[in-house]
Amino acid sequence: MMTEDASVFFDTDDFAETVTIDGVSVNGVFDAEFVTVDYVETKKPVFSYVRTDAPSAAYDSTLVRSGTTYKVKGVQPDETNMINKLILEKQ
Amino acid sequence: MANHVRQQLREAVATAVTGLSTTGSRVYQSRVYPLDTSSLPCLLVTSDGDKSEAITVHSPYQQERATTIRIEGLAKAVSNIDDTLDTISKEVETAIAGSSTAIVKGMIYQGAQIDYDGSGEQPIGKVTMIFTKDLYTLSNAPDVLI
Repeated sequence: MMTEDASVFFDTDDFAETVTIDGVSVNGVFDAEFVTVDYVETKKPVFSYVRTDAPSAAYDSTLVRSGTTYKVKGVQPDETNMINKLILEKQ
Repeated sequence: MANHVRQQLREAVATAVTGLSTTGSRVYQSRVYPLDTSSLPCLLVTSDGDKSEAITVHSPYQQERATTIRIEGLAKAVSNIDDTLDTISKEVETAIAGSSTAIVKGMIYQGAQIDYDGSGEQPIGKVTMIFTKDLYTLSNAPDVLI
């Protein structure tokens, strides 16, 4: 079992930023790569963070980033169960 | 020389479905490249080709061309996207049936397929409607309706 401090990967002095998940401030990395869906070029927003920073994040949780609200539509823990990736829907 | 009757039909259909309440002027013919999300809701009008049958013997013979037009309605929304697609369908079917343009009159609605995709930042829905029209030409004049 891994016991490393995963928070070093989500330092806001590097690539991480602070968002709120259901009102709780959480540091993590937001990404939105381009995807093409049925002729439409759009983005696929995701947010990765240390799972214990927001253990209750679940389907339909609310994430707010820089004034933009997203709903959580998927929760994908990594193999170590330390990092969660949230699949987001822009509201 | 006029345009091929397939082109005439595609362009007339695009004109007939331009200006509808939901999709407005966002009507694109034979679209190949992706659209920006700001272009939604929209319609894509494409000719899928035709099936021709000779109905006379001597050259130039008469042809019956069963010509297929595909109209795809695209929309994105976080809720009620099914209702939006059905509204687009209603507007398109009504516009085609009510067109006063000769080449569009009598088009047959063959049915629709509805698809949803949630892999982007908002759900995107698509309704694909198929219409057909029998066009008659001579074999040596595919640009002239008879």
